[in-house]
Amino acid sequence: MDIHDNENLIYVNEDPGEKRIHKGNVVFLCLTVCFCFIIGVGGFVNFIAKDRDFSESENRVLASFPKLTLSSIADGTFMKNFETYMSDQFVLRDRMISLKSYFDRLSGLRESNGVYIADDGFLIEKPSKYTAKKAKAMTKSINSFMEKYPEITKMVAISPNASYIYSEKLPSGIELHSQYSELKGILNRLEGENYSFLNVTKALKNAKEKSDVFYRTDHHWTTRGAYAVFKAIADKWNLDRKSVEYEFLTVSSDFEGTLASKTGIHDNKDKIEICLPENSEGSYIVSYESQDKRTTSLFEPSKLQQKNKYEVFLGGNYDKVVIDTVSKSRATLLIIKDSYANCLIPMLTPYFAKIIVVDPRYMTESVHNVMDEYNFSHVLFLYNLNTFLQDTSLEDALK
Amino acid sequence: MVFSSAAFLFVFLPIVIGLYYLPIFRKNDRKNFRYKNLILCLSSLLFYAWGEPVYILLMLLSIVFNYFVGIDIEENVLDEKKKKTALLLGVGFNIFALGFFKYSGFIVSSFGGLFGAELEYSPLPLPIGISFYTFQIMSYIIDVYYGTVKAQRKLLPFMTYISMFPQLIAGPIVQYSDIEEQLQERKVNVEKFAAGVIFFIRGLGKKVLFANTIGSVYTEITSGDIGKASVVTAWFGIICYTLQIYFDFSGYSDMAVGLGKMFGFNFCKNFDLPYIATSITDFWRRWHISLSSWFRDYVYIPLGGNRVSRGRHILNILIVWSLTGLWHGAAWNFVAWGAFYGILLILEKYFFKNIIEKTPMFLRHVITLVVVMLGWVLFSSNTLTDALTYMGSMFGTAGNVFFDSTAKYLVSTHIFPVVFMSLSAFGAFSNLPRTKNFKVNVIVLCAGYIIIFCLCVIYLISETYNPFLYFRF
Amino acid sequence: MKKYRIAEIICIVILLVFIGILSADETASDKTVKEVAGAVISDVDIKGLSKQNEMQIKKELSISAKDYDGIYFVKSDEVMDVRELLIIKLKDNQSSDDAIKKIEKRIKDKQTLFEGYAPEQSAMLKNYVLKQEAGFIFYCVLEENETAVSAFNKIL
Repeated sequence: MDIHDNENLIYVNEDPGEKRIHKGNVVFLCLTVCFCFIIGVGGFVNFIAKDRDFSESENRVLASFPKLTLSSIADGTFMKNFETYMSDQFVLRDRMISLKSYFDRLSGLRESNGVYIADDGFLIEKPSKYTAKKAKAMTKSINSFMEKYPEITKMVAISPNASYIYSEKLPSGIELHSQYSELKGILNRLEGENYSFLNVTKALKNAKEKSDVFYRTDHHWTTRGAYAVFKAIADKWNLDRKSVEYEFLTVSSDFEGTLASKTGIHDNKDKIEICLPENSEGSYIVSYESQDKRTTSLFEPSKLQQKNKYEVFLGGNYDKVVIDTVSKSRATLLIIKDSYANCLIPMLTPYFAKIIVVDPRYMTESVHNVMDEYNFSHVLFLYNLNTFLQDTSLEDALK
Repeated sequence: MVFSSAAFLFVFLPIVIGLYYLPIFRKNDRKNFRYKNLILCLSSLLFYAWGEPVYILLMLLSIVFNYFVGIDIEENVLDEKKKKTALLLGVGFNIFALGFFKYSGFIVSSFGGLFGAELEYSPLPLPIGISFYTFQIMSYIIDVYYGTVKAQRKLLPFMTYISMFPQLIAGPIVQYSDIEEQLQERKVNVEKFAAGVIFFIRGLGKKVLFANTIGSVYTEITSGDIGKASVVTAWFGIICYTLQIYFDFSGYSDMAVGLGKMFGFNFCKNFDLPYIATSITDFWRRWHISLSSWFRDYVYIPLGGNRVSRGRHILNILIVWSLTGLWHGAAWNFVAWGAFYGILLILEKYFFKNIIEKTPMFLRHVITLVVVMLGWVLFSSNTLTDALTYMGSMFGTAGNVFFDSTAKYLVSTHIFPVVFMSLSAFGAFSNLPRTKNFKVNVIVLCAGYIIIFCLCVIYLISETYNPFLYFRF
Repeated sequence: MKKYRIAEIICIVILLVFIGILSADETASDKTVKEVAGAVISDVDIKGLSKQNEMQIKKELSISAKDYDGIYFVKSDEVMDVRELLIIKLKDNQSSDDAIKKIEKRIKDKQTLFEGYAPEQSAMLKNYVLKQEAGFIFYCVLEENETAVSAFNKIL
């Protein structure tokens, strides 16, 4: 008798006129008043509270009061939108969400919105699914692209993700497919002259002993991680990296990345460092062609004021960025990349007179056009495995 | 609109309660109940139209039609033949409406399958709650036919009975005879309201804090390759589903009972700790009680019940249980699920009676639970093949490993909620200790329920957490 | 008593009519695409959107204008402006499945394009309207979706 026992607890009588137990009334009144107060006042407060247009923590436009028309009622969209509106604009919404994620962890949950809640405050995204078919299609289009430029020095470097590098921090019982062997599978399919394939797993694994190579709250690698990969690239291409001093500067220590937003867990903050080759500030011109913008910095400090602070590197993702440096070298480099590359690019500036950065996801033209426009000596293809496996634009761009 | 939404809790409910208890209508006399019924009826229509702006016409039509049928039957009380015609007309209408809107797609595809033809037919969407209100209406006209209740001559109370929003869309199936008097006059007082609050918050908690949070485990397991799952994974998944379906359904019933009480109605209870049952017969005395009583009163007993030959009795049971299964949804797996229980009940009654009596209670309890869980596998699978594959994994028939890393992860991250919910489903928290000090009890009780309510609000708002992410890196 | 029986019969007739209306194919409107589009754009602001010709329609939507009784399609030439409005008139008894499938694909493609990158555009794309009525297919992503829909409903 689960439910009815509680009635006994508060002495419910179906017919209180006959045998009223007066002590019970206090409880009845108390509960009734509390409940009505909460729903009444809660409703009223929600009614008078000012609507927010945009949620900073969810980074999206919140629903506004739906327009009332006959057709929107008849097909039910008004009702649906009204319910979304109510929950989107609910007072203390953000607080409630973080409380809920706290309760979830308290109850033992180690996963939220496709992100593992790993040890030491690491949030680690579930890796993309590897399929041989996708790997084959991607490598085929890269191969046929690279084939056209036999005399240019080319490199493909694909980085594993935090889920592999920090696999020991994953909740116990999680066994993921090894990204190392997936990468090997991909790199083995690549072929051509003047062509090197870099599996950066080892570089990252070694570097992680000294410092974090991935952010705890974001899906990107840290500048230290990028530096380790840079060293591997430089060694492969015999760049004289010993001749240049690199300096690390902390530019922000309260970075909460995408994974913090995704899970709603805001316990940890990351620091963002930038890495500068010596005497480099002001020594290049960066042009964002589609934006009609030119700057003299590879960093965009204003982005440190916003939520997605990773955009400090190159100001975010653009279709095409042209970097002219004062390097004495005559080499020119094309980087075909995703956003992992953004924090690594500054490290390459001492060795190339010109670096063109293209992000196929935002490009409408073919990469061949870019190849024709400039006279490249090097091509670097820099991706992380998650993006690589999910990519939908690369094949078109390389055609 | 569902009860567990911000729009219901903080807009609809306070307004309806406010109007229902307007101070000028404080006296408990008939005139005030006309007003109260009117408020309840109008708000119920709004509630239904909120989710079904078109099908509300169907419900209204059904109400008006059956209102006339009720009177028609009673007017012809002396003329057996006319009375019967009226009843058949009424039952025919209801079964036709239910059959057309709920089962037409199923019937067409089943017949198509029988003749090997792919029939192109896209059925209309299912009107919410049609299974519930049709059954309520039928209980009314059949009772009028047998003379157990008087026909309701006033449309308003009749409409209030059918459309009452607390039980409109997910039960319990309230039989007319149970609330006939309450429709005219009922006690509304603070005691009842508070009891309603308790029921409602319990139900809300069961739904939002328990059912919704455990639901993902089973979905996740079945979305993978279930044939290869380890034995522990399969069992853990079905345990989670078993808990989810109980807390979901009984949570909804509790909320309905609670809301009913807030407006002065007493509904019968719909669930009575079904998972402590010690036999299948016992289980069905405790699970969805209003549905099994409906089938007992309006199908099983008219078919002759158990006062017939053994063969006929077995047939009756099979018919009743196949229909019970079919009521849950228009698909063969539900029929199979119903028949599964029908067969088990026959076995229990006729073949294993002596063995069961000799089995120790604890073992009976365990066996019943396992059988019920197997039932849920049938219930939740899309096809019979899926169900058999799942059961295969539970018993390792396809060479499944006993334990693997998935099982380890799932169990280790969900064990606390599962244990807590299981204890709750077994009734471990039904008799909470209380102190001798009355004041302390009052404070603890009020604070406890209010905290649960706040938690529910937090959870249901968080369910809509939908961050936009710059994941395109 | 006869009168109750009559009332019952009336209810049954209404039920059958109701079912009939719900399951019947709706009758096509005799308005042309031009009239319908004219009515819609007189109510909503489509500044900055340009009308697309048959070639462009084919390219954007992979729908060829010849297959239908008329197509009206405006979209913005700006990459970051996701607003667009499409009205298709079906031929008599023509199935809408193909066009709807293509439009749905376009919505999904556009959503993936802006997802994770442009919150305002994503929010707009999420609120798209796609409906079919009286032989017309109507699809829009606009700031004033509701106004557009009611203008569309009114003219039919």
